[in-house]
Amino acid sequence: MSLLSKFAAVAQTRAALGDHDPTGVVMERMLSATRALINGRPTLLAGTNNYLGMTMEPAAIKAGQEALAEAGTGTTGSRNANGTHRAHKLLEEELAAFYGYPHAMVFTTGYGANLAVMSALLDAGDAVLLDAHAHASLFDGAKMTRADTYTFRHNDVDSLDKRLRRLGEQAASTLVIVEGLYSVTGDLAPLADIDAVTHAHGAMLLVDEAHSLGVIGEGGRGVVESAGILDTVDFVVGTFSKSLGTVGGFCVSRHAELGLFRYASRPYIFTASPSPATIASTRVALAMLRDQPERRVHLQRLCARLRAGMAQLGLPVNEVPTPVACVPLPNREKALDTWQRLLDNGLYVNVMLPPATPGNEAMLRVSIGAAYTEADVDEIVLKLGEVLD
Amino acid sequence: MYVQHELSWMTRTGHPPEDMEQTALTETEQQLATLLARIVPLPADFDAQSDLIDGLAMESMQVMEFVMEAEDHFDVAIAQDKLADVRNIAQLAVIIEQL
Repeated sequence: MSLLSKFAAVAQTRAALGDHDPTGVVMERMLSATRALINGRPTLLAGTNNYLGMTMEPAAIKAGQEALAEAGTGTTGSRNANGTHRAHKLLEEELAAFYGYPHAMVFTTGYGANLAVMSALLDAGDAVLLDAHAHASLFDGAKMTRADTYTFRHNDVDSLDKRLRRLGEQAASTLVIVEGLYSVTGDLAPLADIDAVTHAHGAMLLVDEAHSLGVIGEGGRGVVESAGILDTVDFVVGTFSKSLGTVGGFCVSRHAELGLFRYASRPYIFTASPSPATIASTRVALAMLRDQPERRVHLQRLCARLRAGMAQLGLPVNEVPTPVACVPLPNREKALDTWQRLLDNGLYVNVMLPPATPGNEAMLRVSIGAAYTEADVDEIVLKLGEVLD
Repeated sequence: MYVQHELSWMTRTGHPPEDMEQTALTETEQQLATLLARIVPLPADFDAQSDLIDGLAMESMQVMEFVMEAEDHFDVAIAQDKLADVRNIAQLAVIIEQL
């Protein structure tokens, strides 16, 4: 059988989508942090991760432009070779200071950050225990290791407790992995309880704050801050590609050993480092995230407004308002049809189809950010209501 | 065939009849079939060798849910690497009995 024969099934799946290919959407021109030209039509974007509106922030753009002119288009090498500029080190220091930890590491993508941290930390004989709804990068990271991999029921502390108990002595060399804010359903992890149960069994906790950095917590440090576990959580991983508006990833930790991961992580060692422009824009965005709490306050108001609007439409809502909401639909055909009708009506959302969805359900994902107005949120709810009736 | 009848019953109800007798399925397999029926409809010709992926068209999230159900039911921890070659409940039953 040819190596390429497996693509027959992929081709069949693609053909079944017909003209409704949600992976083929092209943003022909960005009009602002909240709108783009799609199919020649100005479209309101309610399916990005631009939670603080940083992609179009003039100061971040200017810093990137200056770094591009001063340091060039790329580093051409990995961090452990020629790919560490002074700015990479400064960003690491700034991230560590932001969290109040001694160490931070910067990676080229958020996906890579998870692979890098997990592959450094976990070895044969260790175990990793993942929330069942954790991001694909965390499951891929587990596959890179020789550790035993287990899952527990989403956000279910009792399920976690049972599994740690079953691991017996191996619990002491187990890494529990959860997300702060889940990217599709928009719900928060009960981190205080998860942290307590994890440490009661002698295990360690890694929290992926990809969708909660800058969004949750009084200082924008994510759910680890709002849950009050900054002093006890072992590793926090995050990304620059959402609330910071660039691309890249990081890990911070209270453990000094994080500084040694640079010598033990293949995804870190064998990846070209982030470009100077990316680092420069990220540093400005991080400073703004830290120093401009008003962005977060405005976003929280919008989240509450979105949540109320969704509830009025009779849609399920999370207990805590977040920038992410989901619209469950009965099947993939209905989801694709609804998604296309919204796009045709000038609203871009994400469509999530099984098997890549929590609960194996078809759903739409709706997201907003601090660059939106109350009128934008009302427009999102109005357009959803028009197609869901 | 009694097994087929019994499993068809489980497909509708999610649990086996109380007067179910021992059949071609082992006790562990019967319990796994009961758990499985809560997640996917089982066809009339389902047996311990039925392929979970190709035969029942289970998606990866459903397989994960099934494994978590089995872990809780049997009070065991089943590492994912042990499942790499598992295609049916007979093979899963062997793994559980060895834990």
